[in-house]
Amino acid sequence: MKANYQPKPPLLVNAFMAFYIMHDLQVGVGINGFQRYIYMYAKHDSWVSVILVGLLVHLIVFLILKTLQLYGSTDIFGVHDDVFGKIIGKVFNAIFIVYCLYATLITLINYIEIVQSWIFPETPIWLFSLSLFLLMIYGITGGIRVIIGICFFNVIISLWVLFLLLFPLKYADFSQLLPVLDTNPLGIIKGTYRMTSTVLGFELFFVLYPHFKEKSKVQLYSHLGILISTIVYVAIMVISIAYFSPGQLVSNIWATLTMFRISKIPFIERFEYVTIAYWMIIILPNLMFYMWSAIRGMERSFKVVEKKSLLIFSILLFVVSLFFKTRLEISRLNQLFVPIGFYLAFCYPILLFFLAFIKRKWKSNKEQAL
Amino acid sequence: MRQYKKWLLVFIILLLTGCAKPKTLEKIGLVTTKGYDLEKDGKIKGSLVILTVDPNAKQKTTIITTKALTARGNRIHSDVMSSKKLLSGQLRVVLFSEAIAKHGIKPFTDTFVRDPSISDLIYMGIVDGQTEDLLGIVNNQIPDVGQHIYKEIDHNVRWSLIPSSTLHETLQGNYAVGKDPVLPILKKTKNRVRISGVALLKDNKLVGKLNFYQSYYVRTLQSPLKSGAFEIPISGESLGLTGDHLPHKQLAVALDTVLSNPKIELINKENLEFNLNLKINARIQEINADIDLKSPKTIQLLEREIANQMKKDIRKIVAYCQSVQSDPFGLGETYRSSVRHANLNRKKWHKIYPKAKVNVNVKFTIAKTGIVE
Amino acid sequence: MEKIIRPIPPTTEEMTLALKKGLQNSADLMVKSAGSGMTLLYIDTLIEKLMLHQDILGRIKDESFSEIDAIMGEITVSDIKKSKNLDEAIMAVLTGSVIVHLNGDSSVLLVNIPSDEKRALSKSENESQVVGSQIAFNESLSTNIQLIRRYLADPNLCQEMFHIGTRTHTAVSMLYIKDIASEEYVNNLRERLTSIKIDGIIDSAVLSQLIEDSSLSLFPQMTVTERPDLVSHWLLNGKITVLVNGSTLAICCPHSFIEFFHTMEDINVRWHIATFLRLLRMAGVFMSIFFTAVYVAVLTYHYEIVPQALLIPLSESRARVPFPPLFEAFLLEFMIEFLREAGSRMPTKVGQTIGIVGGIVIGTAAVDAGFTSNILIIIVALGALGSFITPSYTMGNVIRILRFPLILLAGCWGLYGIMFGFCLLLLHLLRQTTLGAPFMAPFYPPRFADWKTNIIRLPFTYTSNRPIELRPKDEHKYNPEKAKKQK
Repeated sequence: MKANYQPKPPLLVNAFMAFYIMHDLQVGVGINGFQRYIYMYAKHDSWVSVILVGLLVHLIVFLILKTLQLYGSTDIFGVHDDVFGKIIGKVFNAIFIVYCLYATLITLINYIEIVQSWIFPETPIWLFSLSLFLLMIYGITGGIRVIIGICFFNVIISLWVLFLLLFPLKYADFSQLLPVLDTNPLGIIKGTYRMTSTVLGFELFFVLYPHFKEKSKVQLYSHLGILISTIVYVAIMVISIAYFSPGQLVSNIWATLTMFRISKIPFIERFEYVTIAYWMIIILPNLMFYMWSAIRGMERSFKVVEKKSLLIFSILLFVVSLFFKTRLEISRLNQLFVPIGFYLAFCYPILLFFLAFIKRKWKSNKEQAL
Repeated sequence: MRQYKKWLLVFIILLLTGCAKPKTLEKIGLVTTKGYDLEKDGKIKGSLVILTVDPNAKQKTTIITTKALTARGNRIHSDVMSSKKLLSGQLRVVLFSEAIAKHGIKPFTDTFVRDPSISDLIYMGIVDGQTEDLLGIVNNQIPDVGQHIYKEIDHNVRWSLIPSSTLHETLQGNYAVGKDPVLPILKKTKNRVRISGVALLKDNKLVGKLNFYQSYYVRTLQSPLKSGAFEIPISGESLGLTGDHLPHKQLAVALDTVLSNPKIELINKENLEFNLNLKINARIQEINADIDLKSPKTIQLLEREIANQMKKDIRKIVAYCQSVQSDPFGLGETYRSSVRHANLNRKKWHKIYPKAKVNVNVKFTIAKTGIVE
Repeated sequence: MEKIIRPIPPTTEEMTLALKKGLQNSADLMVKSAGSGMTLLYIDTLIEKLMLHQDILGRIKDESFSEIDAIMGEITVSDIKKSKNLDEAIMAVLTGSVIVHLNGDSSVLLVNIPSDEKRALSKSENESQVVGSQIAFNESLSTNIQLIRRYLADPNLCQEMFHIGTRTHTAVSMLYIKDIASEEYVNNLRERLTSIKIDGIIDSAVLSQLIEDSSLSLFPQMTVTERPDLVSHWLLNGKITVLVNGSTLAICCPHSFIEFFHTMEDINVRWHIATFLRLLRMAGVFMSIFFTAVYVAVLTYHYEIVPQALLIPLSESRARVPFPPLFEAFLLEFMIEFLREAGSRMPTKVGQTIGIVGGIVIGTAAVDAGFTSNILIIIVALGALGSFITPSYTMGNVIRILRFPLILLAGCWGLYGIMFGFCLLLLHLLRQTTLGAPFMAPFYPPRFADWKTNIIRLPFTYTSNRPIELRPKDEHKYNPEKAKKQK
């Protein structure tokens, strides 16, 4: 496998799409109830944790893109191959693919849990799972442009959801944010650690990067995307702290949805029923990006045709998704994801950057010596 | 590719076989109001007001009363007495009798908040007397008592006559460190529903009551207001009104369009001391005596007189609240948010709260005197 | 396989026989001797008789010619050519030519004098408009080209001819402006037109289905219109038009999804109104697709989201209906479709009666009988209105049938089902292309510069560029700098 990978022109998109993709990847099913875990540790200073995570993501994405720029146009599979060699590189690629599948599963199961506990408690999991896989397969077979297309549409047409955040303001008491920075720093850092799993998604730029037309501008637009999603997260966090009292926030699994439920307009009230159904289009691009990254990895690294691995992975994940029925099982699955996501998406890119940097330096020195 | 599409079609048809369980609007009984009484044997008597949708029916509601050990149990018992499946997605008001409230409303609010179909904006209230009697009110002017109570509470909250008491706010007050919720008290008077005051809660339990006159102060001290109407009795002595000038026994002023701005300051952390500053700006609607409102001096006197009266009233209310250990004004929140590393919790706050010293300052301004002088 | 060229038989008898055989002894084949070895062969019903007598017979009668070229100089018809191919001659006879045969010569003259029977130009019936020209295409290809050329007196307006159909030999003409239209799209369309293998096409609507990108898709990817002004406007933007002989409709492509909701009137009226109308149309279409489905979803599954003020009227209107909302909605939607189909096949006057019968009699009776709720009648009627709002008839039909799967999904899964349908629809739209160009442009791929001309409409002073989604060679309609200076 060649490290450099240059997709055909029809598969390329403009660099400014990086903004939409980044924003969309970071905002997913997690936004419905991330407050609780952070609040447990960071209390009313949770918004500081959210900002810290935002800064951290800026740093990591900077390194991710720098790593890829060392090679001109490549993805993580090419980098692995170059840095670790053929065989170990394949092992790392396999780990990344499994991680992508895990992330797909997490998103899927958490969304299904929301739908089941809020709207249709009696409807079996396989129905929701099957319907989402149908959409995924239909979208992914359309190619990367279709996936990016639905991601772009989603960002544009989902703007209305932000207006729902105005309703809780009526009941908000911003003095609950005071005194600022009262929690001990350890608590804030613990909260930051818990927050990392919510903002995941940016690591897929490892795979998406070759598909941007003007590579030099990707850095700028992706950081803009991170900025916007961080602002969204901070806004939601601040409003939740003001809207709920501490006890409520800690016990509420889906605080954002609970805030939506007080919004009403003359012909609809209880907006959470609308937003839960609507969330399908918000998580759909996330599911498709993760799944697509996995099948890209299969093709790049193991030479398996995309359609074949798509079918195999879909069936596999569909069957696995049927086993997660209770809140406890899902919670355990989520808990397990926190360290995995943290080490793979936050720590590993730093390591990979230095390895790749040294490797390139070494290689160019050797070439010069010759 | 063709093969793929064929499979897609098969799957979509498969999906359609798994319909969700329908809750068709006309096949369900919509519970709009719930009321809970305590029976002598410790059981809970639940009364559910169910909306009747038949356009030809004279009676717009049905009331089902059952006895059970839990609130949920009441629902199950009611289901077997109803022609339609009862669901509470359109619930608007929940009422508790005083006896229930004294035992604590936590088990009830807990089930409500656990149920995704119940809105967070339902109003909670306490009934002076039996809720069953109150919900049993039927007359020509009130065809649907459930809606009637909801609208009655709702418009009074909107026009700032009583403190808002939605499920969310009640829970927020109950879970907050230094704040306690208040609930309106409803009373059956002459076959009508009357809001007679507010109930003070502490740890989900009813601990004290304020009358309607006092409840307005509670509302004023909670947050800035932009509306509201108010009748305040004052003594006429300083205005020079005595004897014959007074048409009634008690001189009183009616105010409306009240703009008020309360401010709570913590001035001493160690020996708890608070400043309760209230700025009120209002329009005079009526005075039941012959007073010359043209003269600035009279206006000044009147302002001072009203401010003094308010100060006296508020002091009384604060003292009462402290005596029952309930903090509807959020003094504790002020303490928590202005003292670093206070590590305040509810228990601690309830212990030190009665000992706190509260200074009340009121600044009252007459903004307008109506469209004539 | 190489086709053998059959030569023209030199003798008159043999030629007559060959032609009679070639045309299966057709009764209207006329063989007329014009003296001194000259024979005219033609189909009586296809030629212009006046021209036959004036320009052919009148010139060559009573004269004798030694060779065919001499006759060619005498005849005063412009469309004339020499041929040695018998099959070509037979084909020419079928399209209104007269064969002039000289005994002993192995080549013939083909004089094209077709009788041009055509309808007079009339008002556009199906795409009427208030502001703007009223003329519509008719069935004659030459007239239609003439109409477009009158709007566009541009030497760069190219016209390419094709004959499609092994049996019908329908004349098909492709028009584009050479220095505007993208080469890629022109080549693409030319290739599609030449590669069609079919026995015959009767109308351009058929042709458009043969050359569109995906025939499995619900949505048409090329539009047809009967307005020459609209076609000219689109040609100016860099689109390609295909005209078919015998059809009143012109095919225009590439045509993105949003352009199906544009009309010529958007250009003609002032920009505020045009913008409003465009947004109104979008809202109408959205409503038409989703309204009934949302009604079904809310009444079947999500009674919680109904506000209290709406709850009583809604439940009272449903109280007497014996069917579940899904069935009720289908009943009423099908009723509207019946009425619509009945109305469109009827003569105009009877059609109006159908509308009254449907709207007033059946509608009122259905509510009185307790079959449907009157709120649903309002919703379904609004939905029908919304689908009529679509200017393109082909797209309107799609909007019309899209409702049914969505209602079914709503009846099964409530709002979740509607969202599933919406996602599927969006994915489907994103996968489509029109002549190789993305169908959802300018939304995706995002061409923000085109939003001001294609989604809303800004004044012409702000829109000096052609839509870039058509990749025009010449991007500027005019030079904004120059225009400013002249002012």
